[in-house]
Amino acid sequence: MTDLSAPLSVSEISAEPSETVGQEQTARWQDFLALMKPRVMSLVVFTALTGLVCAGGKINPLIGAVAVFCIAVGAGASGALNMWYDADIDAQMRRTRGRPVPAGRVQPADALTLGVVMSLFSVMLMGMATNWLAAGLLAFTILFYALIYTMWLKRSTPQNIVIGGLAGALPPVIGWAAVSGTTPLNAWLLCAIIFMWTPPHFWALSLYTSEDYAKAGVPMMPVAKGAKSTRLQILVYSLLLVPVCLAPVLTGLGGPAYLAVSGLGGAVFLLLAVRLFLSRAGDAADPRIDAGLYDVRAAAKDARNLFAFSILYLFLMFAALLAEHMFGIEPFAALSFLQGFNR
Amino acid sequence: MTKAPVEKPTDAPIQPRMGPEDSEQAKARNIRNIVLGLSLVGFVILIFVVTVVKLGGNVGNRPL
Repeated sequence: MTDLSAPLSVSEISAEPSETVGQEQTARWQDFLALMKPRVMSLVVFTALTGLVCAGGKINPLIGAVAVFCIAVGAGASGALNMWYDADIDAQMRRTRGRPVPAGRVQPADALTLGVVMSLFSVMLMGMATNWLAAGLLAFTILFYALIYTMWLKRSTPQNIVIGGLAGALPPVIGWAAVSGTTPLNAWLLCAIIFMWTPPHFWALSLYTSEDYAKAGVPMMPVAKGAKSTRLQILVYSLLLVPVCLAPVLTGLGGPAYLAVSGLGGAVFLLLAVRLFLSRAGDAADPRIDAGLYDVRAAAKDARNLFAFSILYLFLMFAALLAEHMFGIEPFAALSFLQGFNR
Repeated sequence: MTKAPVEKPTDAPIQPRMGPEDSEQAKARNIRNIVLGLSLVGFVILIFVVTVVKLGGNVGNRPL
């Protein structure tokens, strides 16, 4: 699911990885946990839970918890398969060379086995506990992330995270399907929000980590098309994202809290995207400056600001939806004139 | 009744001493095994609970 390679915590970046790459070391259980990308998993769990609650149908709380657990395990499986396949490029990037496989703590075959076993487990349990539509969507998401994004798109096109972002956008639809057995347009609206959010979010990050990707030969947008083109595309996607984020108010999915968060947050998002567009973030670095991986140069601060705010924006929107549906806050009847999106 | 002390055969293989690295590896392996065992127990409990919830009262209501 969306690795979308959010920056890892300091503990996940090995201090002296170059000496350990390729050597076989003892695997700790924490290394197997790290293969599942727990940070990505937490975002997936949150969006899936929102979809599950927004569906509004009746589900046994325990079965609901099992459904979210299956989605989390499926996300972990995707992460393990991604780390198995990408070990060669992970070893070349400072941000990722401390990961368990390139660092030699976990054997590639073990990572593959873990990914396959967890994939089968999560899909089968989801089918048994809820329904086979949700299980099929979960299987599709895992396969899309592992086969389409990791094995194909990531190394072949600068549009990799645009198309691959679908995998990260699907969890709310899976959660919705787990409850209702259907995927109405409102569920796909949640998917569309994450899908449109992914490019500006991730390209903002890649503007200040592009040297790492260039070294590994991964054609991220700033590497393949340059920083100027990336900044323009971030602005275009931001302009498209904000109306999509406001759409749930019109379909009766979002209420007053959601309108406030998506409207105000959208305005800030656009402001930051315009500032980034006007900045020189990601332009060629001064080779005399030996900057650390996350030492953000002055011009790149605009990129970092948009990246940080994008996480907050998505979190607040989904939190608002979750709260409204849990506490039964009614949407604006006057605004929600697009009916039938829950069918 | 006293037992005669058993003498060790002189040609018994000498046990290699465990170095600090081996002991570290053994410890990590033991913890991994415990985590794996607990995961398996969790799996069994999970399947049991899901089965019970899915069956609900239907077992009692079935035609005999």
